[in-house]
Amino acid sequence: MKNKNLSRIILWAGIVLLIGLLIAGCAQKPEPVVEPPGPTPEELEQARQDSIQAAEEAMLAAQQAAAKKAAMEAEQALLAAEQAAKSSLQVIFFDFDRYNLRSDARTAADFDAGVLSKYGDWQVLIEGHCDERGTDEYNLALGERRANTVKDFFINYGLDAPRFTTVSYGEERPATMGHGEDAWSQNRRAVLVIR
Amino acid sequence: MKYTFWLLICCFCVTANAQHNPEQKAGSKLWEVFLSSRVALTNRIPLHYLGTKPADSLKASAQDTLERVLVRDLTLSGMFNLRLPNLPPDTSIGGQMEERMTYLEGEFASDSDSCRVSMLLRSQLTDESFWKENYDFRPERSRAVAHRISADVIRMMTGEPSVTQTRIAFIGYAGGIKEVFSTTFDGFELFKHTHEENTILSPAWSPDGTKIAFTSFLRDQADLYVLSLDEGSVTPLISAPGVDQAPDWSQDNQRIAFSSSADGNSEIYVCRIDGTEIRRLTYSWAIETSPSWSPTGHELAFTSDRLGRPQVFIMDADGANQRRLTTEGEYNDSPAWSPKGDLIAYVRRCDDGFQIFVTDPKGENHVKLTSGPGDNLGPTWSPDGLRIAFTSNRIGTKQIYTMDVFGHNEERLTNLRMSCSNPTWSPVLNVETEKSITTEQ
Repeated sequence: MKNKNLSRIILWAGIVLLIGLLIAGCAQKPEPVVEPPGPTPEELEQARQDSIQAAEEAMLAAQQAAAKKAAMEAEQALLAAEQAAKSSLQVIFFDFDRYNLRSDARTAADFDAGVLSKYGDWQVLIEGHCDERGTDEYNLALGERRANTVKDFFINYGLDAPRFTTVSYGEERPATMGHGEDAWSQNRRAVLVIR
Repeated sequence: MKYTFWLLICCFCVTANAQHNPEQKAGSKLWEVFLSSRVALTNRIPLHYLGTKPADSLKASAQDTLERVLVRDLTLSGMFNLRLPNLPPDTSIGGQMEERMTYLEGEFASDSDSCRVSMLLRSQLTDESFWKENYDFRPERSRAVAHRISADVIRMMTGEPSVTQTRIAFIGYAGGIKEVFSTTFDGFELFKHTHEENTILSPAWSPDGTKIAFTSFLRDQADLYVLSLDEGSVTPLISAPGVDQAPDWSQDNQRIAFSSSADGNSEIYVCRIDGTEIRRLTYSWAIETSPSWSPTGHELAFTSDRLGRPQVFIMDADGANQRRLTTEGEYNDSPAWSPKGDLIAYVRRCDDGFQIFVTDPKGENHVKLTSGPGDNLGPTWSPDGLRIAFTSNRIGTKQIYTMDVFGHNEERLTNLRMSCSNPTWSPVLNVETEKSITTEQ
């Protein structure tokens, strides 16, 4: 009997212990609060450096963008100026069956030479043309003489010969259609093509 | 109706006769010399054309075309006092009734899709035929057959080559593009030879009939090319720097003269027809271009502006002995030496525009053949040396015309919407050659 009681006590004790353990297991034991360690002086310095670098980069990017924009604008302005210079090139006109430069043609050629001297990288094709009168063959030769006259003028002006090539179209590519001196005088010409 | 047609033709013969009379060019020694070597023109052969019989009701159109074209060919040849059927004897034409007459007649037959005409020449004196030939053809080829018959008759009667089996090539301009075209010598059967979609200039037909040399901008500047007519292929001939242009074949088909500015200035050169053995003939500061061989190949006529304005010069084939041919007028250009060598045609700028002249190779007698208004340019000779084809803008657009060597009997060759210029007359083409060059590749 005594033995039976003992075992009953042990049983109950075991139950109580078990319950106690269960309760202890269920109850949230609060974590101990660990204060984070403060930034080290090195880290602070690094952050400072980083922020300076970021600021500097931003400033640089802004400067670069501004510079790029300015450069583009400048380039566009240059291109526009170059285009304007190209457009300003004058056509050089000739008399019938002639390839010498008359006075107005000399003025035009002189102006063109001035423009060409500013743009030393331009490669120049000089086209020689004739009016529709006369034979195709003689006109093809005459157009070439006109182109060569202009080329020689530029070389004498001091421009580099290798910049220039010539082509003659004779009477094949008139600037103006028509069969009268008005049209003819417009068609006897040398034209500069920049490439 | 038929009577009216023959009457018209006959009137044409009479006019042609009168116009050929050298007296009308009084004072011109040129024609005297010219005609002295052409018996066929001064003593025209009396020929009575009796027509083809019987009238074929089924192939009436083919028969009619054949007769018309044959009579026109024989008339235009200028070698016959032609009498036509259904006309009373006309004693006004050179007293031909006094002369011995030759008759030309034919027998016409046809079946469902082909025709045969048997032509014969018969002498009045013996009443025997001394020439007979059968021609079998499809009805739509009656024009071509008529040209063959007239060529055979002319060869039999005169020993001269005939233009009736020739073509004339020219440059047709439309839509900014200039290509090579050709028609028969009387303006039929238009054929397009090139498809380069470019600017082609100064075509020159080879003496063997199989090629046309020309100038073109296929590589951005003027170079020389040769078109093979039977293959339709284009091969470069001269591609030197500068302007290479104005080809002309020597009559022996061995060499091509041209001008090039490869050495800085337009000069005359000669090369073999494959472009090799290039030889420079002129050395001058001026423009030299448009060379034209004499038929012997011993001399060349060309244009030079060494005196300040273009003039026609002649030199030996090695470049020696350069002398001036034209002395009048301030613009003479485009020489074309006749196939018999006795005349040189050229273009002069006159008060009435650019006009065609002929002169002898010594330049002693000059005769103006065309007159304005309008420009007449680019003369080229028929192989028999009796007609000249040229460009004229007299109707506003450029078209090709032909005329006889006296400047008469003008005919308009082209009547096309495109403008036509730079004619070059083929040699006499045999049937096979003509067929091969006008077959689409």
